[in-house]
Amino acid sequence: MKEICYPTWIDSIPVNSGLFSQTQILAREQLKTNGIPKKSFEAWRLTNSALLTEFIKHPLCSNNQKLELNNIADSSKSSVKLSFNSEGRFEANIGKGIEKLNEKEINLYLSENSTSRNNNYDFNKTINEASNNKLIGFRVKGKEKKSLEIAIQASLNELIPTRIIIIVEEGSNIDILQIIEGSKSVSHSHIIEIHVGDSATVKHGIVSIGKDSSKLLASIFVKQKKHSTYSLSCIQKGWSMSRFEKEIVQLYGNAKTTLQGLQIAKQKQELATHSLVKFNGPNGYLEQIQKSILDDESHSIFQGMIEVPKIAQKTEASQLSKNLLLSSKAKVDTSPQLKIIADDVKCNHGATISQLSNEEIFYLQSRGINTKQANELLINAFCTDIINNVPIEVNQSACQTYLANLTEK
Amino acid sequence: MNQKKIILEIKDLCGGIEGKDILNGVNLKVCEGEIHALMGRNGSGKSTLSKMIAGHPEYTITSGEIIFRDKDLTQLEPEERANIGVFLGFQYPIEIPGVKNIDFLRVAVNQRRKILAKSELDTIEFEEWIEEKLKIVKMQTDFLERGVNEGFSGGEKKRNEILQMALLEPEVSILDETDSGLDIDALRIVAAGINKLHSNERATVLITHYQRLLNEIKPDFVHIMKNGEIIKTGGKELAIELEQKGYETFQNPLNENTE
Repeated sequence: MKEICYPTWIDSIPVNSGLFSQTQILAREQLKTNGIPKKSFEAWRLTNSALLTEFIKHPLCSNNQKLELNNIADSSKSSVKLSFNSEGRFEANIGKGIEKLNEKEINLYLSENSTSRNNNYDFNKTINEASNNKLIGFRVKGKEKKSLEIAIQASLNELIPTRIIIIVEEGSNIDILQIIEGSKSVSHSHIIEIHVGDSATVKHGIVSIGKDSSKLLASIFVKQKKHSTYSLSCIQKGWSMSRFEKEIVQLYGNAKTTLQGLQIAKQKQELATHSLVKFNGPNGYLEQIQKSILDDESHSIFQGMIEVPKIAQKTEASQLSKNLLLSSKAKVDTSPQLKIIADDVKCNHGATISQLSNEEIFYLQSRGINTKQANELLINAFCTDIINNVPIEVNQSACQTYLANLTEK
Repeated sequence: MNQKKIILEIKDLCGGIEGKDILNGVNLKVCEGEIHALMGRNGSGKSTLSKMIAGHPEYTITSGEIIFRDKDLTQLEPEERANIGVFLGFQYPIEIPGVKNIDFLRVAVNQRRKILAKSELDTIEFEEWIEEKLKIVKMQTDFLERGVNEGFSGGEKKRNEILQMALLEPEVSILDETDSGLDIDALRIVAAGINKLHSNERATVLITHYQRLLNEIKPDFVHIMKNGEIIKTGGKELAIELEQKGYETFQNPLNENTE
């Protein structure tokens, strides 16, 4: 595949005539003006710019077909499987209570939600908007619990942009499992937006596994209404570079958010997580834990910000970063941060960096377990809480295989 | 004389930790069916001896031998020692959050069973088998679902050690202050467990400060350790004498090492 350099790359993006044409023009202009994020940008300070440049060396996914959803006759279960394969198509089985959004609804959603974003240059989002032609939206209705599986797998030397919008209506309850896989030197640009309605519950799991020199830039935007619950377990493993940006806004407070993240890296991989949780009302609740397991010369980045403005009284928020270093050359940059204006809140944050304990290993050895097995048991123990929270009802066996192999070297 | 087979023999063992000499020539012979009690003040080298037998990597042996059934233990990794039947009951069993007790025990047991030429137990078989063993230390099955020693009380940790001993069926068990931190009831449960697991083919070495454990478990030999050596060996009466007179009496090596 021919490599294309920035900014020639921007002009090489095929023009989108559909829904996104206007957004795309604007995004391209932004990319041209601002360029690839530099070290001087605080949010990209720690990123290896060489890896970031590689991200956009590839041509855009050549398949420009319109999205297709395949209905499967068995809709007895309220579950949906949506897969994006290397042929560039979404496939989905739509079940009861999950509807595909039409163009008009997506337009309405975008016009209502694009303005509220901050005006800073958001590279993840801009690159997706400049290139995207794979967007799909769902509306989730009704009280019966539903599940949705979204698989995005690719092994091409191409940039693959995907974007998903999910509107979960009042009182609905859904498990969403996303599997993002990449090998060779695929670049994934992914955005998922979830709108959690009043008293709705969303349990969201992301298992993202890269191989070779694959890369992933992903953004998760979540808006929560009153009395809603959103929990996320997000696993990153094996990308030469991956970056998750998570922005969760409790629109009116009075909601519950749980964020769990796990990075498993080796060689010279760089895995980053940047999160922002904002409470725009009182009585909000957040429990956040971010973990990393780092071998060889890998690098973990975590920047977590919790914003508690004056209106967000009685907020309870905790944020913890725990890192396990398996090699003396691995590197962790972690910065849990709180910005609190309200005066009646309970907030705490912290970070730990540790190695496998020799005493724990000896205890296991003294019971006949060899060092390799002991290491595996201890590494699994470190991340078991996060792995156990990935919703796997949708595709139990496939996901269990992924999870079982996660901590394998 | 004694025709019993020697299980464990320690010959003139010297060594220590971080360059500091702790053992200065320990000699001990343990035969099948015997219970030995090793007593001594804090810092006399009892725990160091137990860690060296189990193969703790931070302890260095400068000279001497540890022979288990004609095998030189010092050449083996800690897990190999455990697999051939050497068990160390820890003074302070470590907590390993996240590693489920039952998963840990099953992996450990299956390693030992390979050596004993017994078939590997799958999850269901293991659960059935372990239920019997739980009764020995009066533990409930919910212990198995928790992390290894995670949030266990002192007594529960020690009972978990004895449960592991019951599961691994070792030939020689070195129990380091298994009685410390136990109330009377827990002490009886633990002691009863140890007695039940003892047999004519196995041997037990109890490291203890107190005679009260020896009221529950009758030792064949009592050894007093001081400055990294065994300075006196006797029968049960030595423990009683020690309880009455204190270690001070045994400050100076009054007697030669007796066999």
